[in-house]
Amino acid sequence: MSRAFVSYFDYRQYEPLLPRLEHGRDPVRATVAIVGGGPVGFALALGLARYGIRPVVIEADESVCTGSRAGCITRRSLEIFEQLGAAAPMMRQGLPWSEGWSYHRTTEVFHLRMPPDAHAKYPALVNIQQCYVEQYLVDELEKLRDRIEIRWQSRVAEATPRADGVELAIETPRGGYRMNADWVVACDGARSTVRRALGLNFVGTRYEGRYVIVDIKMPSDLPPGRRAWFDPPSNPGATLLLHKHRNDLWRFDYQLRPDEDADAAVEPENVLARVQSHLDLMGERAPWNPVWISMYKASALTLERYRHGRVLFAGDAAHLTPIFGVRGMNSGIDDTHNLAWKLAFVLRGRARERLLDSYSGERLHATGENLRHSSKSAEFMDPPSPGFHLMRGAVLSLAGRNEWVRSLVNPRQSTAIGFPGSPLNDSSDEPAAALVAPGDNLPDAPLGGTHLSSLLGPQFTALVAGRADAGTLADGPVPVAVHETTGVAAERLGLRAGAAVLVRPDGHVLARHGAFDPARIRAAVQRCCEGGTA
Amino acid sequence: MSLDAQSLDDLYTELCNTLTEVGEAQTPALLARLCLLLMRESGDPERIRSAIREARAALPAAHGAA
Repeated sequence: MSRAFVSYFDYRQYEPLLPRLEHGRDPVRATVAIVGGGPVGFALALGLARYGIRPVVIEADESVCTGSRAGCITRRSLEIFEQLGAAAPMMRQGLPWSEGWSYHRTTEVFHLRMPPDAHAKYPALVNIQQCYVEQYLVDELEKLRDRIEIRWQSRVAEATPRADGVELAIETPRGGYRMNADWVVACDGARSTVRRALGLNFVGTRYEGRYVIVDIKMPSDLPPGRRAWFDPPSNPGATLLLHKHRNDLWRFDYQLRPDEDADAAVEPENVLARVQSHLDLMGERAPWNPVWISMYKASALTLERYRHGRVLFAGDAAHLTPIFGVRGMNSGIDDTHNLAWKLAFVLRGRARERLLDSYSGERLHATGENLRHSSKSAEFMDPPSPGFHLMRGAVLSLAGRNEWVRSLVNPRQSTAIGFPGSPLNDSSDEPAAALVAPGDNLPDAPLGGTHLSSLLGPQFTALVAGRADAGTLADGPVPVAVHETTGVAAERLGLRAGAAVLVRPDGHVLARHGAFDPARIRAAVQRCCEGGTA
Repeated sequence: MSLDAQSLDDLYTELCNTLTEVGEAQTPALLARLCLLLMRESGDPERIRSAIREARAALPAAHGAA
């Protein structure tokens, strides 16, 4: 249910790409077939390419996504895009923000201020429409076109697990064919064909609340940030969210009351009248144009496992989280960064296949955290029962004068999620309260004219406080980069002289050792590649 | 920290009078606000949780509720 008015994005159309066929079959067996060319599939393709893997991406459409989709990327996503070589255009197009304002009717009840991290290369949150994210990833993939195929206008009709991989049936406007892949990664979104083909079902909750998403073009000097209204005169009895994007684009996201008819609610005259009424309330007077109208319902759903033999699930195909707190696309990007090195290491014989089970376990933990936070936000935005409604009213009515109650109004924006219980984690000889523990995401900090987030390459990295004799760590099938770490970086990691932090290729800390010892580092890496503790 | 009988008696009456003033329709809102304020005053998660459960114990579930 959606409607487009004007396009703000210059869509490039891609022709269907078919392989040379023999008897209706692609004679070349793919090492990895990525089903779904969205932000998740494209990020995974770029991630795998860093390890010399040549995946085939199969995408149903002829261009990047249309319409209102994800609208914000996190620092963690930007750090991943940096590794993929795609962060610079995202930062040019993106609009960083660090403030939020929540209103009960017209009274401000909460002012969110996220203090900037002076040591990090990237801001905490950057608003950018998903079509830009996808296009910038495609632009990078096109530089690798001799190694990575994107098969546009190709729809997976069947996916059949075989003993040594997966057989896919592909349909295109130029005819269908079958192909085989050693591994399939399903990045084909909420209505995943692969998920259905394997007979897998989501578990969790679908919320009743319906939200109308409206993008408009409107010049305004208002600073960027998250603006949330509860029970505003423009949408009585419901909520309204507003976000600013680059190029005068604004995104409204307002809730329908339960008695409102969905079809009537997305009729342009009804939508535009509500937008105008809200702009009047805000005192915005500039002329504006609608860009897009669509409808959204929140879900908190996940598969129970993300690995099923030779099929792995990532992004919306694996889990759906309510939009509040920007955990949708960002968790999918995070999935790919966790998966790319593990799959590549297994494919290149550097790790045992059971390392891939940790992909499922770690990312399920992340989904649990994401759902815990975003479901609370969804319940605050749309109270699921009279009890929730009563208590939210009490909170909002007290928040204006009682600072302590405002934490309940906090929109709980996405933050990096660590894996304290991961079986890959090496024992640490530092106290549990150490600044950075095994499983945590490496915090960013400047080091040697660059940043830790830029320094990490497609390998394990040891950060050592002081002079380090790397010995033979840089050699062998699983090389470990060693960097002397000083100043702010050492402080942030809580590194005393001579101590070391060992970092996985995806930026999660694997071990911290009070004294740098190449043999211990090597042992931790080996245990990790074997898939960790049983 | 416990209330003496006289204070309890006075506060009981004050709450009854306050609820009467705002009327039946606004009674849930007032009690909800009061609960949040007293949670803050108490500052003891275990005592608050136990009070919620004790308050619940004597009441049947609403028809159709789990």
